[in-house]
Amino acid sequence: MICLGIEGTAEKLGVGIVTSDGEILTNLTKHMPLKEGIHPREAAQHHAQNLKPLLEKALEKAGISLGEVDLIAFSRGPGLGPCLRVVAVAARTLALKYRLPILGVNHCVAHIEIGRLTTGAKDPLTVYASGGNTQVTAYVEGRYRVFGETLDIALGNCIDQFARELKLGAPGGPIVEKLARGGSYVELPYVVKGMDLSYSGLLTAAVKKATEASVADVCFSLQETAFAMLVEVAERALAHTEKEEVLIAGGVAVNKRLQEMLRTMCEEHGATFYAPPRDVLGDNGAMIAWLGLLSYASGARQRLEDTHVIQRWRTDEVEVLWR
Amino acid sequence: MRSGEARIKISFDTEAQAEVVHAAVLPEVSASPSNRARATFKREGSKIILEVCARDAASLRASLSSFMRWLKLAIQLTGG
Amino acid sequence: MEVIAKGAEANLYLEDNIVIKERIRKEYRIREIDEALRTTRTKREAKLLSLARRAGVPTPVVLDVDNRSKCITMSYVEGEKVKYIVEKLSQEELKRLFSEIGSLAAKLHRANIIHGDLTTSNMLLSQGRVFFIDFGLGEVNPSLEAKGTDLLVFRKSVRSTHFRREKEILEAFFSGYRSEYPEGEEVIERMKRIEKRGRYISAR
Repeated sequence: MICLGIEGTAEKLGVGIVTSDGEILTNLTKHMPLKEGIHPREAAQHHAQNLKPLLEKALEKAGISLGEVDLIAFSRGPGLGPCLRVVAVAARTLALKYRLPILGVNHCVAHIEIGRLTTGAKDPLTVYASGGNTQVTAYVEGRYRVFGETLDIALGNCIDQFARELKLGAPGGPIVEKLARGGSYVELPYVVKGMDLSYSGLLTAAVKKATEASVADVCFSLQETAFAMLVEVAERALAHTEKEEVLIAGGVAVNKRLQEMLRTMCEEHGATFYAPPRDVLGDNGAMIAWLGLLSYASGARQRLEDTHVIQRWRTDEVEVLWR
Repeated sequence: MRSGEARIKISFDTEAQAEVVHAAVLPEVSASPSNRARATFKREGSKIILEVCARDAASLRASLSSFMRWLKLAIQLTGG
Repeated sequence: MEVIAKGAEANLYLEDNIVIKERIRKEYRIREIDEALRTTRTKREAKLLSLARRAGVPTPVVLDVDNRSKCITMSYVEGEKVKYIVEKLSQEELKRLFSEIGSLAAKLHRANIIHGDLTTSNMLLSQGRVFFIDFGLGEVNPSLEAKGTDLLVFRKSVRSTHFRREKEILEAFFSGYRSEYPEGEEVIERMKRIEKRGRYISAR
């Protein structure tokens, strides 16, 4: 079976084609140029304009035609409403035109499943950090339970907003990572509540700190603080769930320092650390296609008229039928 | 603030294309009822008729631009 | 000395009915952060354990604090973590237990004590009494926001860990909380508001 997956929950648009054997035939992503923050309607417009060309390129790269596709999957949520709706309309159009089954799938669960597919992790604790999401999840009895998450803004959002405030450029993640090298520590607030995190206070404090300390020092300290918070929560969730593997997911997880910290934490606990390849870490279409295939094989079906988007869709609301 | 109304009619070459485009966009109409704009979205043969009633001009424009984005995309993907 | 537990952040040693809790160094974070966290948490925990007991919440008795080695010496409470007994209890027993836990949480909040990590892993049942432990993430804070967040942490941990009995547990907990704390309703309302501000809640 071949599934075409379309991702478009935020500023990235992705088209991926995957077989039911788990072979990723193609996985193309188009980034929206980011100057300010993400404006939902502009992002939606970006997706609408780029969908057809990206789709055509993906098919060409995979060397197949739409007639050979067996299933259409799309990111149904959680995400920005206008973006989700564009993707949903595209998926429905293709499903109708080519008379294919359609499945709207959960974006966060897709990150977990593509990580398991590409790394071979079996039952990991997943640390998922991106511009829109920050959560620590693990599979327990039929669901991916959320053991820790941000209580306000996401980790990626914290770093991006910081970079924007300081006019360092966009996207903020790689710029801050680079500037952080050679910085030294200045104190910033560290906020962990139970297994949950709060990044908004850290953001405000870091921006303020930048008026008195060097940019390199603040970048360094922001990374060290924000990542230590996430790794601590992951560590506690690991002890709590007694899992033996840790998997990372999300665009922020490409950060080398974050990976290093998680790897060290895993070593201290005798857990195995898994990092998927870069092209499936951030938002991408292949993860949507793969989750579509898993869901379809386990019996999930959706009627076209029930494929409305779900802007706020918790990871633990999804029944995991394929495990 | 003045309320606004718009009526748009799109004619397709074939009834089949109109059917696909209409069915692809229709769930968006029922999914998000808004108190700022109300839309009816129907198909008559090879024509799609969209009517939007909005509380003010800004809401009318926002609603129309969403529909135009979806319709244009669905038309592109059904082959022009 | 016998190691009785290796938690995520500390090792626990037992000798002669005395427990030493040592906050261990974490290699993954830089020295400065590690040192500051372990010092603050050790100090806070010792202080809050005592404050909580004065507020009527059973806790181990603090015998000594060493900020340099990040060790707290305290009395040993022999008991089982509430986390592990939830599944074994009858409906009645569960209700009684969590109503008690709710009223203990209320006693903390009445005294402006924020636990910081209210989960069933941090509660021990010992001879019919519930002891609260692990105050390292806590603080003294009179604000509704802090108390509401404290409750939210508890609610979310129940959701992820005791999903089979989530409803029973929360009902009993909040009824115990309300009955012990006249302003409890306000805190519960704030908890709901904080949760709504989060990003992942479905619009149910």
